Amino acid sequence: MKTTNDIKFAFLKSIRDKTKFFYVLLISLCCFISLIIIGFYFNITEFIDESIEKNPAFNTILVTLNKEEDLSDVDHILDIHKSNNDFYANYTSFKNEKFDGWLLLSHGTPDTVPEVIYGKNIDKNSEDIAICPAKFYPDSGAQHFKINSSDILKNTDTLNSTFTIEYNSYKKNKFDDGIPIKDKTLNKTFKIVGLYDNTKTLNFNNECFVTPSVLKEITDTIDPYLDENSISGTYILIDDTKNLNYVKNELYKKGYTDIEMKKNIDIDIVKSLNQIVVVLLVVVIMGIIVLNALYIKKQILIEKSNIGILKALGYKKNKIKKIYILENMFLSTLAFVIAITVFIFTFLIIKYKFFVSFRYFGINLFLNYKIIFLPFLLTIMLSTLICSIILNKVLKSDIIKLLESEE
Amino acid sequence: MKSKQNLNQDDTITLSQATKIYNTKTEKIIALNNLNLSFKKGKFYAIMGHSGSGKSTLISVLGLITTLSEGNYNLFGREISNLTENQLSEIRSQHLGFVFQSYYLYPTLKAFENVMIPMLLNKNIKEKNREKIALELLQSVGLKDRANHFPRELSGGEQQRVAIARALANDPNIILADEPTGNLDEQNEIMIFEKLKQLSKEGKCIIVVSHSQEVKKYADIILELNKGNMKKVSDENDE
Ligand SMILES: Nc1ncnc2c1ncn2[C@@H]1O[C@H](COP(=O)(O)OP(=O)(O)O)[C@@H](O)[C@H]1O
Ligand SMILES: [Mg+2]
Repeated sequence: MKTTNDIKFAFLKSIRDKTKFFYVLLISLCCFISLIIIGFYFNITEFIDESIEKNPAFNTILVTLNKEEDLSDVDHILDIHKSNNDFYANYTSFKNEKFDGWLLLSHGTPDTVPEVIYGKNIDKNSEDIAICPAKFYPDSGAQHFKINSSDILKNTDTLNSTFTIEYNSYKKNKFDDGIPIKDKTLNKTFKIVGLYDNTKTLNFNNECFVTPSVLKEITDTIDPYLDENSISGTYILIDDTKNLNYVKNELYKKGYTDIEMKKNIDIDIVKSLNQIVVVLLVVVIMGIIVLNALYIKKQILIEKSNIGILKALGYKKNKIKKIYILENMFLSTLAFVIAITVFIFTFLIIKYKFFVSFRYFGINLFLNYKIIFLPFLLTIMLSTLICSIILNKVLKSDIIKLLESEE
Repeated sequence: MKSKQNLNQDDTITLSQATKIYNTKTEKIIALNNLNLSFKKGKFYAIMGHSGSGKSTLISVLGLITTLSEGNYNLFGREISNLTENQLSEIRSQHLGFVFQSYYLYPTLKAFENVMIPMLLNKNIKEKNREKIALELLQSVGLKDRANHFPRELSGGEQQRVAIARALANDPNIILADEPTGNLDEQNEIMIFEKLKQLSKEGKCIIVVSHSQEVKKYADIILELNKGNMKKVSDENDE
């Protein structure tokens, strides 16, 4: 008998049995749950990986002990600057009815600016330039992810435009008691020469990078008490995540004790996320195994006399096995197709209905074969495996026993 | 007629010194005790006897479902004791037709599809002819108009006639029926026996196990078993 006949037989057998519908639904539910778990897991880990890769802030160490150690003999350091000179935030000329103009100016070197996708990168020689987010939202709301996505400025709106930021200079009061007195209001104008990709980094949508010397000038001016002896932190940018531990060790050797990361993703959270996902997957796998085992066992017990009659009619063991496995594969494939369809719909709804605003600060959802592969294996392979194990057992018993085992 | 491989030298089925012993944990049951029997094409055999006398065992041995413990079984000139499981399956598919007390139709297949099951193994029947043959067979048991019904939609007698049509699907030489009318009323019983009788007249070897006295009217030869021994062989023609 040709395989097409086997398939036809298996197909007819299964499509007409309404009790099999429950099996398909249960298995597709398991498959759907595993798709959700794996989809969620891959999205989170991919997001974390990409963010770490694209955002130099994840390679920046903060040491808070102010020591005048020479770090030039430590390899892999790209940039060192004082935390006082790291950023300055204030309202800017972007202020209008949509935006309050609040910007964050950050220490920008070619190494600290995330990937520039429009215009050019920062360079040390030209002053008064800024690299801003490609999806720019010059508003204090951006700091709290309060973003109206339709108002986001695009590259055409922002590239090559200029903005002005104000800052005050202070002088020491006559008692020199540490309370500064405002002297005069100064301002600086920056031209946006480049835009960086902020959708895949964890930068705020209102964070612009400016030349270190200009930022130092502003931050030193607003704090007249800053001098060599005041305690502040130092940011140290490392060239690659894999060299972090090396540099940390070198810093420990040199006596820096308080070492942390400028930006970090809590490793414990990632670890426990991994564990939760593994546990959930194990539960789903167990679910699939148990459901399959119970169902197929019940089904094959019901079918024992049918298997017996097939044997009596001259069907060889392997042929019977083929028919029943084909039937099971057909059912589990149906379950998989149902699950994947529902999953893709769910995914699209979440992505385009509930997740739109998240996209603007870097969280995007994606689908790929990796997400689908494991659930595919789980549903179809596992079902087939269990089916063939049970069949092997059943087919061992002789025809009379099979025929006599009526439900 | 379809070609039948290797089995045409002789048209008899012979059991010689056939013994079947079931070894259970507690005892040794001699289900068939040193039987010497032969069956011929074109005859209707009725196997009778009390419950437990070995009738089903004999049918199973003849149907290659069980193997003998001792003795020989020769099927149309072929000694079957040395055949592999797959070879036995092939002989079952080509030369033997089975009818059981409980019909054993596939619940999710329609009547004509049930009849087609054995044909799927038969390379001699072209795929496009299968359905036609199945319908002809159903017609021959008076069920042409029920061809598209599922077993649950048929009465017991109708189901058993579908089973007979299925047993005939590959045009076997031997039809083995173990209490085919055990679940049927008298009217249906007569219909079944008449069909089987007709088949024997067409040249098939019909072997029927039955409790019913009715079978005696149709049988050419009546074999009576008693505790595994052949108690009485009566030939209608002798009487
Ligand atoms: N698989 C088996 N294992 C053990 N004993 C069996 C088995 N099948 C049948 N027997 C025994 O063999 C004897 C003959 O059984 P069977 O052929 O079914 O008789 P019948 O069909 O005439 O009622 C009985 O005593 C029965 O209990
Ligand atoms: Mg019996």
